Amino acid sequence: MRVEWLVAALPLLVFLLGYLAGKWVERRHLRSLDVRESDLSPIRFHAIPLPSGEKAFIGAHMVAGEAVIVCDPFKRLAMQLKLLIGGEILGVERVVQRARREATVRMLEQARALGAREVVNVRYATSNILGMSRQTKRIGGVICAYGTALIEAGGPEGWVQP
Amino acid sequence: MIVVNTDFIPGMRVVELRGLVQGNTVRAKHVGRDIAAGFKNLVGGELKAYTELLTEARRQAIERMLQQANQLGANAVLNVRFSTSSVIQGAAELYAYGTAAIVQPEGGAGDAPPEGAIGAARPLRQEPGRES
Repeated sequence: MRVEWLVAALPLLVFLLGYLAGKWVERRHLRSLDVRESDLSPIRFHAIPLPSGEKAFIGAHMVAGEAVIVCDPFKRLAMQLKLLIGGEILGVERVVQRARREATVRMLEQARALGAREVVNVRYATSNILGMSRQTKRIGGVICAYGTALIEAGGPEGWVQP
Repeated sequence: MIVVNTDFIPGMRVVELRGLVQGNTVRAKHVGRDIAAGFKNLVGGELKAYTELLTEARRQAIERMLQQANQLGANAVLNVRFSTSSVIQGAAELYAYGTAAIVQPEGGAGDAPPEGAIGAARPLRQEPGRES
């Protein structure tokens, strides 16, 4: 009798695990993102192809960052329900937004490694690689953020155009 | 080889445009890594194997684009963009394209870039009679 209950309760356990672990992973990632974003906040970035100020720049190089973040089973279940009743799917939205922030942070880290303080013409691209697995049970955000890092005159010593 | 996302390079002047250059790659995932990623699916979070796949695909697409630019005799690629498409069921293509150009440092060998260089329209000179 107890074994049967355990077997029946297994899907519920998976969802509970997904919910708790997913929440823990998400909270940890958001904290890491907050720390890294405030660390990189001196680097300005925007979506137009022009520098924001009147500074003199001596060089430029493309920088990019990617992130692939998937949902846990609980979020997927919530999404299936929302597909029936309609409305905003907040769980998936949060995951895709996290992927976008992570890709942006990685792009800015590349810019910082070049000694740049400004990234212009930032664009975001996505890809269909999550649909590549046979299961098609992967829902998430696949984001590539790319832009051009501008290096200022009087920037890092001995800087060489890559 | 200078690679930028914009249509200008600070301190440089575009001398000649050499046309569109492109690079693409179609990648599939290693089965073992795919199974490992399946475990990650239980708790959500980042699939590092897929991120590496995307990074490798991007690097290879850009490398092929730069090879083409080299063949055309260019020393810079401007206005690079990415595009993806699902070519067959279960595979995705990453496509990078940009404009190959020959650029020269602006002005003489001075220390500071010339005034009005930032964001100003670049003087663009194309040799007459050259086919694009």
